[in-house]
Amino acid sequence: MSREDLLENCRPFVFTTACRVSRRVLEWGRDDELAVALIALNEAIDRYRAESGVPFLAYARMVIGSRLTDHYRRESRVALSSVPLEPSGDAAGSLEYAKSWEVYWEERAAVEREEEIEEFGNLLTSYGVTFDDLVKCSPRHRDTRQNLMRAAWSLVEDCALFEELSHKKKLPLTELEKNTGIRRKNLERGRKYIIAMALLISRREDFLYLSSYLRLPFGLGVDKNE
Amino acid sequence: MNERGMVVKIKRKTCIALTAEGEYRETPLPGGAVPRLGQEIQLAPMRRRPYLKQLMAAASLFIILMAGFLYLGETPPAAAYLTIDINPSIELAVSTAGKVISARAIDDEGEKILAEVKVKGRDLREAVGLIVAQAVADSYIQESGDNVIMATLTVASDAEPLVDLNSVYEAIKKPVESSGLVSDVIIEPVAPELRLEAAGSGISTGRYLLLRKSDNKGLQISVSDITSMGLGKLQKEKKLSLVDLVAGDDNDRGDVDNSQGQEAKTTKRGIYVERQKAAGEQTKQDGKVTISGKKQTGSDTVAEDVNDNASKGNGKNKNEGNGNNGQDKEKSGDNSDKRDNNKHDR
Repeated sequence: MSREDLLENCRPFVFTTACRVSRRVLEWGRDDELAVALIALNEAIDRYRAESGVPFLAYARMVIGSRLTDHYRRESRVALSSVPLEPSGDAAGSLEYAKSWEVYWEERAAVEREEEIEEFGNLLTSYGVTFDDLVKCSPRHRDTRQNLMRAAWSLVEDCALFEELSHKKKLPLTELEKNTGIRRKNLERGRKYIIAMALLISRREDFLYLSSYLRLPFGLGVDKNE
Repeated sequence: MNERGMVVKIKRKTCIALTAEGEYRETPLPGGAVPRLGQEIQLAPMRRRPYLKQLMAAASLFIILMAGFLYLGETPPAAAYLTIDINPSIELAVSTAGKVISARAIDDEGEKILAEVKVKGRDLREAVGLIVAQAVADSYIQESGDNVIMATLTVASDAEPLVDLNSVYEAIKKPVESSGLVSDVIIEPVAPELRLEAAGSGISTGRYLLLRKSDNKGLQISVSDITSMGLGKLQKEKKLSLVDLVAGDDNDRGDVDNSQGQEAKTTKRGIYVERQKAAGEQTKQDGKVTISGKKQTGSDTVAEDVNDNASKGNGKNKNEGNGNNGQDKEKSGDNSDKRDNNKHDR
């Protein structure tokens, strides 16, 4: 996959991330933020190290957020007169600087990860699911687990069904049974697991760390290894 | 087993981690620093635990069941019931093996006694002895006063008594005697139906029996008299002999039987022993009268009137055994004749 393709594929991701950071709805071609974010994504691709343990999109999100903050500083008058906080991209020459930069990102990633898991936990709680429940009902066999994940995936794909889940906070078992061909009994048994998985998949762009950690039986839309 | 997972929840001693395979697993916290949320940790192999849990659950269930069966096996349904009335009334359920299955207090005093002695599982004789001994200790049986101990044992109409009545008598007698007291002892076999009737009216079988007998005789004893008073006190107040009352019924029957053939009915067999305070030790050995159903003499009444003579009279009856009823009657007839003669002479 060429870099252009990757950038193109990541456009929606860049868009949502930039919108969130700037806290308004942006528009391609009109707002500078989107261009800045796209450049930041490009930078992230250069800098990303898979060994760091941080998923690429999470990394990219951090870089985009950081660059956009720089952008806003530069825009404001106060920021104009002040010294830029960090030299841009290639200018980061010294080893020391690179090291501290790494430490900084690592810490930042850890905090983000922590927040993400807490948020996921809260989301689960609002559906009446706790991590303890998941321990109890997560299937021991890989096949069963993958079946349930498949069910969760198809649930997310079917917007109407997912809508039903988020409204009623209950799993539309009969429809799921029809769609996936998995026996109702099994669906029932893994009910909480399916809910958890479906929530995670449906908001995989928010729960980047969790979703990328999981070896989901399907790609997550974006290949993290370029 | 070399699995790793991302910590999603930290508890006091364990944490929950999500593996790359999508399994949520609870694992003990790794040694050293407490992990942060989202940190990747090594998972302890712990697949075997749920299996162990189930096994233990099954094992404990099995043990409980076995214990239950053993327990049930040891307590067969009651084969007979024995009630003791002193003042406290207690009913003992007895198994076919002659063991006490359960004890039930019929009044408050009985409850007090049962709180003191543990009779469940004991041999009936032993249990009876314990209860009487406790009654003595709680001074329900006193040196001065009319002491009556009444026991009833349910016996099905066509069956032998489960426990030998004589041995029950011995069990009652021993603790009373050993503390130097005397008491009337009534031991009466009753039909199981009677016990049910008694239970229906909420009083002990013995007292119910007394009530019935006194009704038969046209005596004025109310239910409240029977239930509120100790047997000794009842005897004193109503100026009657309970021994007489209970045994007397047999006497009547004996007469009927006599006319039809003496050995016809021998199912009813009671022990009636009456002792007088004044008679004391002397009467003790002689005071025992075993009635074989057909025979009940008036000698007990005599004993009440003439203390020392009573022993002789009783002894005589005992020795003479069957058929002395008629003799007694003849005697009394003779006496009246003599009296008549005397009158005539005057």
